[in-house]
Amino acid sequence: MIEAENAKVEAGGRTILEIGRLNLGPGLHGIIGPNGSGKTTLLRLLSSIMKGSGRVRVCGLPPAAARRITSYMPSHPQVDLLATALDVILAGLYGSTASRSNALQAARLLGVDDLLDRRFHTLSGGEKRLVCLARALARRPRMLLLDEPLSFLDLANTARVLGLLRGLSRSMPVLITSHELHYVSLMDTVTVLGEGRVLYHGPPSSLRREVLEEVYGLPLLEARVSGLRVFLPADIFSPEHT
Amino acid sequence: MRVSILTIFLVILLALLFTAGVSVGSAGRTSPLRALHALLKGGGGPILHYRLLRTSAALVLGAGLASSGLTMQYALRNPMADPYLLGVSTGAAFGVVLLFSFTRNPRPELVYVNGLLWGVIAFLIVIGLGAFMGAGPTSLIVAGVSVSYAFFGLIILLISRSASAQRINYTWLFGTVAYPSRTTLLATSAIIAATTILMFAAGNRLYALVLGDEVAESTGVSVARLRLAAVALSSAAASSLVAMAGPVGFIGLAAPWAVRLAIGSNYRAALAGSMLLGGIAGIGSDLAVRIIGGGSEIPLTAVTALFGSPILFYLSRRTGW
Repeated sequence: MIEAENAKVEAGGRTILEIGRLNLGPGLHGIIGPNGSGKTTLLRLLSSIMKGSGRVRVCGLPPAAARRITSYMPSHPQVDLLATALDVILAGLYGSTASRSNALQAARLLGVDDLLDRRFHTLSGGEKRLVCLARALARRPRMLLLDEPLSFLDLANTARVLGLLRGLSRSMPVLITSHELHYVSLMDTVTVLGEGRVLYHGPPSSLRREVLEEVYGLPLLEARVSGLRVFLPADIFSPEHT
Repeated sequence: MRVSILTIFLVILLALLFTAGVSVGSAGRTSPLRALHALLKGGGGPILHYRLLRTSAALVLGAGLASSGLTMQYALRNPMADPYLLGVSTGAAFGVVLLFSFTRNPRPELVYVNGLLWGVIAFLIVIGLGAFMGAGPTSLIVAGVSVSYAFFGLIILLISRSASAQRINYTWLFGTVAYPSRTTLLATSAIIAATTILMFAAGNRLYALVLGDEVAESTGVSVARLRLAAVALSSAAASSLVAMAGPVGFIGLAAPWAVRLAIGSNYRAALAGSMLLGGIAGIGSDLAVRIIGGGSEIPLTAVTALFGSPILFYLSRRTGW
């Protein structure tokens, strides 16, 4: 459903993203990598906010033509100061076939239906995140592009959102960027980006720790929790710190 | 339900104020029924006709400023934006002062065309400078503020240096509907009607702008094009209003703000509500000016600012902003 071939995005005279070949079908796809590695650029390319060269297709369409069937959520939404949470969800329906009842249903699904009359800017970081996710889901998209959907969320909401996204990913590609390496094993595929290039793409089980150590530039500990691999920064979890 | 009751209340208030506007003035009171009867029969005399023209101008002024201000707030994603932010009021005022420097008692139509023209010129300069700086909301605001101050400087220079420029009616400089002309009112009404229809048509796209440029773009809005079109419509409306009635302050900022605090930010609903409230503020302010001033004219901005600012402050506090 997502195909990219020789795709390249340039800004300020330099290449900030370069992808040889990437094919993603339905599933939960984690995009990881350090700050400035091109994660957000990849989502912006697929949602047609940024233009690039090469061949990119979303559900068989060029990204600009696919905007009505995709939902993009930025990591830092720039919402108008007077807009309420309900405004955010309703305004986001533009270009889709979804209705007001889809918007209210999405708000209930994310547990923000009691926040709808509140001004968006008065909400906590986690509440804002949930409202933005509700906005993304309300469009009834066929693909989700979510930039750091798990940041600011408490444990219960992280579990709720991850569960929801895993459920949705059975029928559509769900791309999420994250710095939470301990959730890597829950993804169907992982794409590791470093300086705008794909350093690894495949199932999380085949991801070697050395790839992550190289891209983040620090030693990592690898542990197993319920049989799933978890990566942690070795320095912080070393005996002298604990 | 709450919104419907509020709307009915505001419509009734507008009708009452309009009736009062036609019935009350420094030349005495006329029974509203008698005034209506006389006007419908094509009579009524010059005083009734003057009041009808003046009250209609106040209605168009208030409603137009509100729609212009609301659209500017969405286009620039800034609740502090008002119709004059991109330089049209100082541009238009400069044009009128310039005209007075060279002409003795110019015809109202000439004042109007000159004000409109210079409002548009100022706006085009702002757009040019804004595009040079990147055309984002902040670039446009910086360009607008700079150009406004530059024209303000020119106005001061003209008034202080030119004896003929000093003949300009200072009441006009701070806004008034005391000197209406049928032609300028009709021209302004046509411009406000046309711009409002276009704003309404772009309503869902303008609503999406509250989400920020990136998200709006991702939903299918061409943000840069829409922003340019919206500020152009808003500034065209504001230019025509300044040309008709001078730069009346505060309604264009406060009416949209109050409506959005009360009913949310759905653009089309906010447009209708703002125009209703703006019309009420326009006629109400003009009535207050007539009552306070007695026989002499007081600029409208004195009333809109003095009454409007505490109301806005109260509303903001009450709605927890």
